[in-house]
Amino acid sequence: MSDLAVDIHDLSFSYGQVPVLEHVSLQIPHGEFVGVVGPNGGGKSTLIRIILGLLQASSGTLRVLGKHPRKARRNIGYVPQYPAFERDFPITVEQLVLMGRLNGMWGSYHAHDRDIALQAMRETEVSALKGRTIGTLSGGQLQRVLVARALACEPRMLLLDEPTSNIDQRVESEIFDLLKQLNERMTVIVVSHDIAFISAYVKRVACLSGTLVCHTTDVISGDDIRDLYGEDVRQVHHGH
Amino acid sequence: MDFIEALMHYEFLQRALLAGLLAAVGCGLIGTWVVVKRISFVAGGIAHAVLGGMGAALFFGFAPIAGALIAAIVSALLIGVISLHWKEREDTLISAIWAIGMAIGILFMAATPGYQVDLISYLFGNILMVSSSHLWIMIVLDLILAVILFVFHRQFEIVIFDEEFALLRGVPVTFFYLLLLCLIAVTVVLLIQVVGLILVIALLTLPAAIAGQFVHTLSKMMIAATLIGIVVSTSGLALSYETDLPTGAIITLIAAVLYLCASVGTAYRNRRRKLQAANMSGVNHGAS
Repeated sequence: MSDLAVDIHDLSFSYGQVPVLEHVSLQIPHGEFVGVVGPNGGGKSTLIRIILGLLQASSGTLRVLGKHPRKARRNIGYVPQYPAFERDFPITVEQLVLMGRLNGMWGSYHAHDRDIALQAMRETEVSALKGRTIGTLSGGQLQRVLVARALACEPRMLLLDEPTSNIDQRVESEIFDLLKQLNERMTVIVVSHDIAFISAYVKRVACLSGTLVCHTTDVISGDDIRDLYGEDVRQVHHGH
Repeated sequence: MDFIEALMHYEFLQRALLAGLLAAVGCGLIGTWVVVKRISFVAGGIAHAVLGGMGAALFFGFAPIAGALIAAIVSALLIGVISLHWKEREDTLISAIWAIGMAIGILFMAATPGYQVDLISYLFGNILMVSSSHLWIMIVLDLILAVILFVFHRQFEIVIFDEEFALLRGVPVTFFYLLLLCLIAVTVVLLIQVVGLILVIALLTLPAAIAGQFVHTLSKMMIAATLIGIVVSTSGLALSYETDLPTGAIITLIAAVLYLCASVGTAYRNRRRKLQAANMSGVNHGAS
């Protein structure tokens, strides 16, 4: 088996005539904690959807967990950009987390699935909320529930799209502490527009702005960010 | 003679009562999904297109319910494909199917001798004319709905709640969406005899919408909507018997009044809760 969790080579994608990603290459080894950053409209969510096999790249090669993305996706725990669904949907926290146990066309939940879901809720500290309906949760609680659902898939890789875009900074660091802890046993890829915040947590940063991908293990300088965003953003400077 | 006494005496009233109960089961089970997925317009399109099939069945001399069932399934699949592939034109196309189905139905009925009575009862229902063979058909259709929902409850739940996540779990999203529309089609056929296709949407959405204000999981909503449907259809039948007014219209209005009361009640309850919360935080502020 390949030792790369994600192996993207010279990948391009366009919506009709509009190019979104051009000649993107990115290698992510197993066990990494990678932040994908870049300006809005830079193609971050598109890249995530291609990795999940929800969109088809127009050219280039892509292997996820050594497999075709469609075959790999059941081994990926995906946390969508919040909120991707109606908040007033009549469903409890436990029912939502259990969705991670569904597999294919048939089947319902068994005791074994409930155990795994409960374990996932304990890990994200939401097991006390399991009977609550999702409409009564705070933004941070809902985000933890979505992470629990991703964990219930028993994934080898976690993929999170802007997991903290609607919650305050204190809760944001709690979520990232949780991800850091999960990274001890699985690959974690986080998409964010907030490079300053995530670079304090992740091991590597991939910067995505349509045509350009730089990925670096080194200190990110202000120049890099200026190149990427075209202007000064919150300064990042920290050692690794 | 009051309603209870009449119920003992007249078989047609007993059949009407039973038809109301069977319709309530269908509208509770399926109406919940229509309300939660917010596709009552889609359900309306299916309901009205059914008239085309009924007209054709009458003209060619088949049982109207068979024509209705076929037309309902065909229009459900057509509308499903439209809403999946031409999302931006969805409302125009569904309105078109809505009208075309009715137009076809009316042409066929006009070409069939002695149509007038039938047209009115299809549009507004005639629960007092339900035959015992029709009751058996309703029982079978209810059973089909219940079995499919029981087997695929989890799959419907994930597809309706979060399509993208359903795809990632390998659940065939398109299949289940189309299957749900077909179940709606079956329910519409179930309800037509009771309230008629113009009033179908009321019975398909209002009991579930009322239930949604009090219970907060899908299975509880299905049970509560069924019970509310039973209350509405039974009281509607009784009231229409006492007042000698059309049953379908009475049933619909009772459901509407209940919905209005429930909405006002919920709004009032929420406001009080908010005020209480505001007061509490005011007290805390005062203390600190």
